[in-house]
Amino acid sequence: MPLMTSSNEKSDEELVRQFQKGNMDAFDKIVRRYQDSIFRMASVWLHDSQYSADVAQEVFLRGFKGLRSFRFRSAPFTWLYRTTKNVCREQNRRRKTESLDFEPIDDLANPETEMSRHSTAREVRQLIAKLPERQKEVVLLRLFEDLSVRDTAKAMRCREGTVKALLHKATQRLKANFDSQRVET
Amino acid sequence: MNSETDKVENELESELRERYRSIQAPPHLAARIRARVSDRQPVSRRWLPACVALPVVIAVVAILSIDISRKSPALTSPPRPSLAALSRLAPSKPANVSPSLSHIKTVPRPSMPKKPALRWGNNPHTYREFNPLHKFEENDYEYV
Repeated sequence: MPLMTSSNEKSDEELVRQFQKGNMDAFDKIVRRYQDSIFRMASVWLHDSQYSADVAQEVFLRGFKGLRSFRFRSAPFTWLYRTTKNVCREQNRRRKTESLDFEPIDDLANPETEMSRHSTAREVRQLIAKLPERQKEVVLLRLFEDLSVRDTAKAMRCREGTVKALLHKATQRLKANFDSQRVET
Repeated sequence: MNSETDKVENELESELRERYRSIQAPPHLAARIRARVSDRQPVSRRWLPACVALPVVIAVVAILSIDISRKSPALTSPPRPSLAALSRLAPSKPANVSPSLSHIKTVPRPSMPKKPALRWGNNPHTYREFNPLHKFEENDYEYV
């Protein structure tokens, strides 16, 4: 998913560098490139996916600040992923203490689409909910976001072998969960 | 058997991925972010540290210069000792240091005048001949 570089498309690094020079269009391109990924990850990480849009917005607002001083020690997407994870954690903690600052999205233009979006997110979330935290991360990054093993390892700050082992275990568990869900339905 | 398991796993993976990928961000999200970001248009604040530092530096320099000017008279003239303090001072003895040899100067001594040339020369016998008094006294033991 990250570093989508066709001949005419700029790499993430290039876009971030242009943004650092003050090019707002570059930031816009980063948002458009990653809004779906960030939104999806938020939908799965959050206990309540109706706040996913707010989380995605918060992630990009933090990106607007943080990417200015980005030093390219990791890939920009890795940075966005970690920020997403942190914001989701904060949001989940807030919801636990029932002190919500976020407003639920008021996108009721097409309630059916919204409903189906939430239900799909819920299904996927339920499937991977039983996985341990690290396995969940591997599934999200490697399986769902199509990151390479190397990039996944970088994002998770672990070795490539660990990613492979975690992915293998996660797939086994997912299969069991999937089968049991099918039986239930 | 193994290939069948792999096939099932792959199907499961692709189905899950498909479901996951069907989740898409609401269409207005990018516009919403754009609107929020334009509120926070970056203002270059690189001049800010310089603006803060400049008055501080000026103030420090001013304070230091005042401080130095206050201290300078005291530095140039040492404080006068009071009479009581002076009276308590023990008379300092000059250090008993032997002068080095280089300091010792030999006083130039005037050379002695030349011996006057006597009429009878330096021979005592001839002297006696010329000096009648001497001749008289010394005859007792010399010319016995």
